[in-house]
Amino acid sequence: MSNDAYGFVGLGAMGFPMVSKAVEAGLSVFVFDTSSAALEAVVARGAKRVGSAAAVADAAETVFVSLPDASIVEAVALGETGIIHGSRIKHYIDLSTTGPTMARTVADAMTRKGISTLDAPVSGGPIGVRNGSLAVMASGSEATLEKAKAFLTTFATTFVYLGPEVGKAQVLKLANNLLTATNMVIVGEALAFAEKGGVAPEDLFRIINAGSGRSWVSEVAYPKHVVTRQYDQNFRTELMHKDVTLCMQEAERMGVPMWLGSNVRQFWQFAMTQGMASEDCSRIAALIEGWAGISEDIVETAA
Amino acid sequence: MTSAKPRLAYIGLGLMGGPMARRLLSLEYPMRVFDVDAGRMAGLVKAGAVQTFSPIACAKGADVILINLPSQSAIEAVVFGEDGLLGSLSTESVVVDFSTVSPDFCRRIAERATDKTGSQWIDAPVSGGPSAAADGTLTIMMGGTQQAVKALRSLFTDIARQVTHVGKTGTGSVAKMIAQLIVGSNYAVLAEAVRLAEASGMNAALLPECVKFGHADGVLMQQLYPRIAAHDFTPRAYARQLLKDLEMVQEEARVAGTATPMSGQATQLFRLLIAAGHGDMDGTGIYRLYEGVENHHENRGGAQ
Repeated sequence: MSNDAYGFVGLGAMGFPMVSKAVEAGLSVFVFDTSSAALEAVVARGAKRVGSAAAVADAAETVFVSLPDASIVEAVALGETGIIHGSRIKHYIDLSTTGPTMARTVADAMTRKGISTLDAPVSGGPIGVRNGSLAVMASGSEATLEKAKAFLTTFATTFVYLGPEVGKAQVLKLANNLLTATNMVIVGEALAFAEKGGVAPEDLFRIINAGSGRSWVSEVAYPKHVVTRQYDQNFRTELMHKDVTLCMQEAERMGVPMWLGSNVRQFWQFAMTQGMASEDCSRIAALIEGWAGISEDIVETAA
Repeated sequence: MTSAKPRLAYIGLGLMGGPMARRLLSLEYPMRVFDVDAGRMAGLVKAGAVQTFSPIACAKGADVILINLPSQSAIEAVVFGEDGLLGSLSTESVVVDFSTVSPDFCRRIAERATDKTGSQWIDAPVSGGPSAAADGTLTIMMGGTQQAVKALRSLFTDIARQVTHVGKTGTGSVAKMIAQLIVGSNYAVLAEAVRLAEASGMNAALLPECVKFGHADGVLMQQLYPRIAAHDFTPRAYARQLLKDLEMVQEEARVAGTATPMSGQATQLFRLLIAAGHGDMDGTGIYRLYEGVENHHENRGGAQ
């Protein structure tokens, strides 16, 4: 096994295309996931399958994880068959959004074992991975970032290094996600408001995106996934709720009042009670339109 | 008006006005009545009232004109509209408005009427519901001049067990509005309490007993909460009416230059409830928002 081998745990909506990109670029990647379907799919593309997270860290010096929540990160990193027990690992990079508290917990344990860590959440979504245009924000070991770059540049173009203090990148990522979660809701309300007032969605977004109200949500998410009625943003409502919840939990620890943010979290929680947990997050637009009494007919015609 | 009972004109004989007028008739107040619904007048005529066919005719010769109407536009019409009672007002007459209106509306309408006729205007919103109206056990909060309120003291104590003179005209409506802020917001708070109790696996109906004599106890906990816990949404106070009241609170707070984020949130939740088609449900129906649905797609009728 060469020093150039990489390890990767977590082949979900982000991890799968990341590993695919790295393998396509000719890198050697050892992988593990609890889903054998995901494993088979990346093995078919040239990745090497091993039997546990620890086995990944036995095979590679530089190991990445991309996992859905903090408790899974803890289990995969520090659990009984976790990465920390690997014999070869020197660098651990967490690409997940799991909050600064978990990043510090894992970093403390890894550091005691002589493993350098980097928390490196990403922004840009699965599409960003496929286009190779992802943004990576990183904090922790700079040497680890340098080690990781050959892998990361197969799908990321923007790197922001925030310094050696682990967790800072997670704070930044949560701040970013707070805005996305908020914008998704508030643009939905603006859309329903405009539609009920007789304004066509196309006109609304033409104006918003030429002015001070614009955001990624108004420029990309709504025109692409809502106005077309495709609802294919490929990000589930429950994940949006998870991200904004994580931000609220950290804000609570830090003593930062979140007047609006806490309401945004309540909104996503409420949307989940309306049967939308596993729906695409862009579908909340239809939920809001429904409340406003905008019929499916109008919506379909507008599409 | 010192010892003899004042001659009354009663306009608006609905859910509250009907039993209040009947109560006053039973105490032998001379009374002329008017309502757009003639059927409502019939019963009161039997009880001794004189039926009239316009606000101006009703108010003619009356010492005190009592109003009890469901909306500000109805009050506007009855006072200033065609055959409005304004034409029968004088410096000797007093208008008592029992309706729930915004303080701002009250101040404007009272000023207009007083400027034109020299009459007094007392805003006297009531609390307690139809049964308290019939029993003469209402709670009344009043705004008006000291002199006008004092002159009508015995009239008020004949229909209410709690009578408070808050201040000048409009302040009765301020007090009522603030009561609505508290009650309206509590519908939302108690509904989420019931749902949380259910979702967390306790017998939700036990909560009023659990907190009795504790800090969470109160009239709303003992009377309103049990109805929500029993999923009893029989209309007593319509959800749409609670929304109207809460929206009034928000507007008045804006005018007063103060923030009301908690009741503001309750207002949005009631708007959501009404948008979902539950306006004619009792305010307790706000619980419906928290029940949740299992599958969004099925509820969308398969529109894909």
